[in-house]
Amino acid sequence: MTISVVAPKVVVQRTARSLGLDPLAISEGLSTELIAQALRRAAHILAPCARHELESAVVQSLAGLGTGNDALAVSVGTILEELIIYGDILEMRGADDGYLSRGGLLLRPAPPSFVVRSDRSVAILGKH
Amino acid sequence: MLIEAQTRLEDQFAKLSRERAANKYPVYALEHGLEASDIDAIRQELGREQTLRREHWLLWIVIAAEVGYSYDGDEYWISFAAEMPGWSQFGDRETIREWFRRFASDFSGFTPRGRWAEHFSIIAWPITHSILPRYLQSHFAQHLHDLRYELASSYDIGIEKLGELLKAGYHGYSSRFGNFLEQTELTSRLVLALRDEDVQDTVAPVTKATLTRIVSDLERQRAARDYLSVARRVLREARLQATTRLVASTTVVVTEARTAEPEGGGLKLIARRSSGGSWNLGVTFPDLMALLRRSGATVGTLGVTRIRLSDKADSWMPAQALLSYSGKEYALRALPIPLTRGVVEFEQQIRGFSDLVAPKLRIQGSAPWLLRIQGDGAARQVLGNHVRSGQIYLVITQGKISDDVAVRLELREQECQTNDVGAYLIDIPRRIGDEYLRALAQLKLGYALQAHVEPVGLVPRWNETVGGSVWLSTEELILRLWADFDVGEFAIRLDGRDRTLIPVHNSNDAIVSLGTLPIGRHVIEVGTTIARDQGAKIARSLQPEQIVVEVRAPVPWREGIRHQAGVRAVLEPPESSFEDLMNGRAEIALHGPADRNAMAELRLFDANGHQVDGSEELGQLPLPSSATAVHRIIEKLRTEPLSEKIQAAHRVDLVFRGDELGSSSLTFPKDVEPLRWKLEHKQARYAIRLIDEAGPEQEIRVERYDMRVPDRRERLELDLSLAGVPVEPPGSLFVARHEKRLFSTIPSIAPQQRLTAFTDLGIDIKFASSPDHPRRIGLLLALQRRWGRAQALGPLGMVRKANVLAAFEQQIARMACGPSWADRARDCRGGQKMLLDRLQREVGGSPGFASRMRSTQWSKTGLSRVEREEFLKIAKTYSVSGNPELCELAMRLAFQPNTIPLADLDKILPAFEELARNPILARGAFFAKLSTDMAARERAASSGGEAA
Repeated sequence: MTISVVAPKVVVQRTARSLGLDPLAISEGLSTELIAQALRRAAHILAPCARHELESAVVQSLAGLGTGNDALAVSVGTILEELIIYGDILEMRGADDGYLSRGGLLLRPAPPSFVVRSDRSVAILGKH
Repeated sequence: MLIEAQTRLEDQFAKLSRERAANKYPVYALEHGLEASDIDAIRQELGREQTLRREHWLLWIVIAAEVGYSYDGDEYWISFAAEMPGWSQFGDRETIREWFRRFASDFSGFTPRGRWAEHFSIIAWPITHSILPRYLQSHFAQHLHDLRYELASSYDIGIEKLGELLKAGYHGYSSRFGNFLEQTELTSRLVLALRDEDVQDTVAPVTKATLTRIVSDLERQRAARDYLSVARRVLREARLQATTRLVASTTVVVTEARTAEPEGGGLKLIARRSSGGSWNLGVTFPDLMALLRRSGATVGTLGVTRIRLSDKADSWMPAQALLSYSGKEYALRALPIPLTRGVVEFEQQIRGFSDLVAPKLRIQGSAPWLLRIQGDGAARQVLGNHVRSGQIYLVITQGKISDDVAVRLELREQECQTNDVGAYLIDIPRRIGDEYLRALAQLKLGYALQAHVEPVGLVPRWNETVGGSVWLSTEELILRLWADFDVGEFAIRLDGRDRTLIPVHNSNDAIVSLGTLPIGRHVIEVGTTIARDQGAKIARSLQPEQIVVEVRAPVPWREGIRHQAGVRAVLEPPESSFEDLMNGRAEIALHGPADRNAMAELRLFDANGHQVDGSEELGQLPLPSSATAVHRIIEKLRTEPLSEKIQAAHRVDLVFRGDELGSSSLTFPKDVEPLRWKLEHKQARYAIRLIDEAGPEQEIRVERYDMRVPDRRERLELDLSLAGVPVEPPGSLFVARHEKRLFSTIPSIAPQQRLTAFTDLGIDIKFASSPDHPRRIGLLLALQRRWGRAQALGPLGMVRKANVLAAFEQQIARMACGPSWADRARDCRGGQKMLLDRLQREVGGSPGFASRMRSTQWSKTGLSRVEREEFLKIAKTYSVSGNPELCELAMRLAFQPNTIPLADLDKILPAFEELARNPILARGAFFAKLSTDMAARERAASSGGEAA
């Protein structure tokens, strides 16, 4: 293994690769695909968690990699909202909520949506 | 023809033995090299001979291995007899084993090892010599797929460890496959054979023809074929990469100074502040269940010994209790003395497990311990004892810190609940002078300037037990290094190797990639040098930061999602069996968002791990649901035809589906015992048959107890039991004894004639033991436990087992309290509430005694120390008894008879006689229990619920 200094631009490419994306196929900088995939992965790690916890964890991990932090926080929030709408991430009440003590909504990862095609191959759907 | 075939086999196995001698690869009987038609012909010829001839011994073991390869995983000898007509007359299992042993010695044949091979000492031979039985092939393909990255990265770990890795990595639910993985030598060679099948000119661990046969059988199932194909591709790619790396990096390997692999470590200290302001010092236990699995031991293995905690030296408890501490914090009353002693001690060592777990149950480091106070208020141990500026720490010592040092460091002494330790708060200032540094050094504490190391790009997974982050083998580890001072350079050292220096110019940060790390635990050490103009004095004091990183293989979605799904079924206690659940010894609570429902489903699996007959919907449950609500759904499993299907299944899954919330499933594997009972239904008749797969070294004794007289024993002939004993209505308890273990079952069936009333389903139970012999209470208690532990089979098994257990209770009550009082108490419990007053009057002695029994608030168990003392006090007050032991016996008999120890019969039997001589005391205890139950029922009825 090699220890090397890397520039923020390279970090973005390598992060994309670690997230299972094709680093050459994604657009320059912190693209929507990369942030969406980072959110899915982080949801799987942190769930069940509050929305702000997921947002701040992803913002912190991507801070300084291109976009200013304020703009990054807005992007992450917007993309997370879309992931919830598309059903990639679920928003629900906590398991321990009672009638009198209802906490905030929690996020949980959803299994990937997919379509089986006529040739028996499978297309996985999600925020892109 | 047979002689010729025997000669061919001798040549074949001798050749394989010679070829493999240098590699020490064993030979398997399945590698006979014969065509399927030859095998059929040999089978027919051997069958015609109707005898086991020594000159055909190789033919017999080949046939035995062929049966092992194709049988369905249920009963080996039944399958063998089906292939070899007349086997039950002329066959001899011991001879077959002898011939397999001879094969091992003459041809370097494989020898099965491990616990499974010991318990199934005969069939272990033909099954392992079939290499990979067909019914385990899909399990193996999936397991190989799940572990493909670990296996690929373990290219050079050695053949023994490869098998161990396969064994340790299995967390599935097939006990048969788990047993198969005990043959680590076999499984590791199988992996190598599958990986290297494309490599020419090497000595294969399994012949090509045999491997082709296994693979083509395996590929008949689509899922197994896909699993195998992906797994083999990953393994082969890893083999190629490893070969290339070894050639290219020879000089690097020679020059690299590698330190020992980082150790797993012991317990880390944690302290939490109580509401009163004092500190509770404790430890966080590791995942003990995972360690148990890794050691190859089972929960049952722990049953042979006891454990105690170092701060409670007098309190031994069953070793299974250790698992309840898994991953939990435990507050210590005192630290272990000496510190090399574990926080948990075993009374007897458990082979494999004790050695593995002992170092992990010792406290890490030595005094003073440094605990950093974190955001949640808890103070957690910092290994290395280096403080940072601006942080607050708790210093734990085993003595008092000198006043001089305490003043210079501005230590604030704290109150600590743990005996013989000192606790001090230390607030590290932003700027530190030389004197402060010297005082820290006197306390054996190092100092590091505030330099930060954090992952960048990916959110880390935090593992409390490891005390570090967890990464996948496919994820690149990228760290951002920064400090709140100008940095000259950063120095990174991975796993103790040479440092990599990273110069930093006019900046205080750098982003560094460590690439993808191999699977395992790694220690990353990050040092920082201050830029020259920051001053040399402080620069000397900089200490490197150590980060622990664990890298693991990706986990399949179905495993990884388990703890995040929106629906969660929790089994309490964990690891309970299906029988525990059905018998009320375990329960399920269902968690999920309110206002949603989950569908409960039953899924049954066969020996291959394939689902049988689709899913059976049991009903909708609101989320969340209590254990009582889930229990109502589970009760459906007692009814036909589900109960019969469950009996035949090899694995039972209870699945709770919440649409898009996901699902949560609980899996109950059925362990295969070397002796087990099977209820068979043929031609409108039922028979119970004993399946014997144990070795013949120990005698097997079989007994039967008729339900109508459940305390009368009848001996059965072993041969009769093996052939099948007809089950007559209403049913019986059958017990097989082998090596001090009991294998029992209760088959129960409905009468043959047409039923005209529900009462026809009832049974008239009588006891051979007279109520006039109170010493027999001990026998009845022992038999009640035996009936209680037996598995109920058949359409009415569960119901009638409950009837028998209730009859035992009643008979014991009759012996202790007198028949008429006990019968009236039963009627009262059955609905005649008006009898309660009369029963109170008939307790006897002073009326105040019975009155106090009724008015006192007893708990359902009635066995707490306070309740026992209260009972004794009342008994003394009304001159019923002043004997504490007798009073406790009366309470236990009435409230929880299963807690009465029966080991010392010389002591307990006279005690029952003494109790029977004091019926007022016995009736008082039973009346206390009765009135407590009746009151609970009243309360439940008035609140619209039901009594538990």
